[in-house]
Amino acid sequence: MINIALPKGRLGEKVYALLSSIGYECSEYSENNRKLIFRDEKNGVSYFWVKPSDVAIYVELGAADVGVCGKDILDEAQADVYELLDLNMGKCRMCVAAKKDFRDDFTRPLRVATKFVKSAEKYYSSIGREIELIKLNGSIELAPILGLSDVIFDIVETGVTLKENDLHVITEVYPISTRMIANKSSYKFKNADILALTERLKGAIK
Amino acid sequence: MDTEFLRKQEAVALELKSLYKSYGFKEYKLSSFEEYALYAENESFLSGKDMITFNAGGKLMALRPDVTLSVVKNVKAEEGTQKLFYDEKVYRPRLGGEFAEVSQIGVEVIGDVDIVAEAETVELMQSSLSKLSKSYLIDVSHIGIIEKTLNYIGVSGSDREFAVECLTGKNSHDFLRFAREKGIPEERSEVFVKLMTLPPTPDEAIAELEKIKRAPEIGHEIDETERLIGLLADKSTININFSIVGNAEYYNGLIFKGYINGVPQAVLSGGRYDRLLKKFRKNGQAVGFAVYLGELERYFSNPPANPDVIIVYDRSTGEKALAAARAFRKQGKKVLLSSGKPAETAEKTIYAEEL
Repeated sequence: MINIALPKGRLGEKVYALLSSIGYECSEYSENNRKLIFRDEKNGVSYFWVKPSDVAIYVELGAADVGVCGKDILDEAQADVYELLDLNMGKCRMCVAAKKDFRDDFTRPLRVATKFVKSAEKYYSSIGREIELIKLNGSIELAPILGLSDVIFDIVETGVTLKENDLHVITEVYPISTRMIANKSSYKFKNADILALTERLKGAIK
Repeated sequence: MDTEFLRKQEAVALELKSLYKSYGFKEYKLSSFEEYALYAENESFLSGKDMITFNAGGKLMALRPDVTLSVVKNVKAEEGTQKLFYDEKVYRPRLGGEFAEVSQIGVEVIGDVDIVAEAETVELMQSSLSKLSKSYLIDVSHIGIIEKTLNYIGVSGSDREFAVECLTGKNSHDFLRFAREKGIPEERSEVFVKLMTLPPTPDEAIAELEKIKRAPEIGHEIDETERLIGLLADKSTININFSIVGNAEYYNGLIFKGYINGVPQAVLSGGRYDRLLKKFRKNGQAVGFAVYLGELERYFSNPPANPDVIIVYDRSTGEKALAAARAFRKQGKKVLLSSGKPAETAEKTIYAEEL
C-alpha cells in the first residue's frame, strides 16, 4: 500500500486525475464529499487530502510515503525528503516585486514582505543583502503600496495582480512547478512501489 | 535478566551495550558539558548550530550537542587503537526547534583503522539495528566518490552547494536544468545524475559505477566499497546510496545511515572521519557510528502496565488489606493498595471488607 498526500484544491484534483489514468485509481474517490482519506486495496493506494502547505510535513514525518506539492512550499518547509520528479504543472515564478518608482537604498536593510520567510532569507543571504523581514499571510501586494515594505518576495503566476496594484517584477528568483516528493525511509522499504509510481508518472507527463 | 520493567528504550540500550562489550569495546564516560569553543570551531561537523550555552567561571560552556567531538578531543590515540562505546545524553533542538535531551549510543574506533575494522563496524551497525527492528537497511555512500565527481563536473562555492542539495534530494530534474544553465558538458552531468539514480543493491550499483569510473577517477573508491561489502556476512541489508553526504572537512571514505521500517528518519549515522582527527592534530584514522535512541522515543510505545490485583480498603480494613497484598505479592502478582475508589483498573478488584 502506497500512501499519497495530495494538496486540496484544483492542483490536487488534476494530479489525482493523472494518477488514476496510470493505474492508481481509487474506487472510493468522489469529488463531492468531505472525506479526507480514500483507499483502494486492489490498486494498493491510499490518498489523503491535506492543506497544500502541509504536504511536505506529512511526507517528511512518514504519514504519507509520497506527496505532491509546489516547489515554493517545498523550499519553505526545508523538508528532508527526496524530490523525485518535476510534474511540469502549476508553473509560476518566485519573484521580487516593487512599486514602479522603487530604487534600492543600500545604506539600510531592505524591508521585504513575504509569506516565504525562509526562502527569502536564503535568497537574500546568497546575494549578501541585509534585510528586514515582514511575515504576512496574504494580500502581500498591499505592503509596498502602504509603505510597510520596500519590496515583496512572492510567487507570480500571470502578473495580473501585480499590474492591477501598480507593482512590477524586479527580479525573477527561480521557476516553480509541482514536484513529487518521497519520504526517505519509505523510499527504501517500499522502493519497488515508489519507483514504479515515479516511472509511470514520468511516462504520463512527457 | 528480567527487563520487563524497563522502558523499551532503556532495554534496547542495555542490549546494545552488552553487544559492544562482546566485541571487546570499552565503555567511555564523558562529562555533560564542554567549552563552547570546541563546538563553535567545528560547527560544520554538527548537524545544527543551536546549542544550550552557559557561563561557568568566566568560561562559556555548552551542553554537549554531539558525542564524537568530545571523544576525539579526549582520547589518546598514541596509546594504540582504541575501540570504545558510549551511552550519553545529548542536547539538541528537535524538529520544530525546541531543545530536548536525547539518548545517543555509539561506537568509535580510533587509531589504526583498516578494512577489517570498518567491516566489523558495519557488522555492529547491522546487529545494533536488528535489536531495534527485524526490518532495517543501511545506506552506504563514499565521500571520495562524491567529491571527485563534484570536481569532475567543475562546480565550486554556492554552485557546489546546489549540486550537493540536488544529490541529497535525488533531484535530477533541477540539477540538469542547472547544468544546462552553467554549461556543464552533458557527458559530465550524466555521471553526476548516475549517482542519484543508482539501483540500491550493492552488486547492481557497483556494476553501474564501473561503467562511469574512468573519467572522475573513482576506481580506487569503488574497489574500497566493494571490498568492504565483500567482507560482510549479510549483504541483503546494505544499499548503495549517494544521497548520504557528509562534510568533507571531517569525513573521508565510507559513510553510513541506518533506517528501520516504520520510522521516517535515519536512526543511525556514521562513517570514516580521519580528517576530524587531523583537525585535533592526532595521528591515525577513525570510524564510528551513533544510534539515536532518543529520536525513537515516539515510535516505542510504553503503555503503563496495569496491576494484577487492586485491593480497596477503608479505615477499618487497612490491616487485612496489607496482609492480603503481601500474600498476593508472594505469588508474584502486582498489587495496588487503594483507599477508596481506585483510579486504575485491574483483572481483579477486591474490597478488603469482603476478605
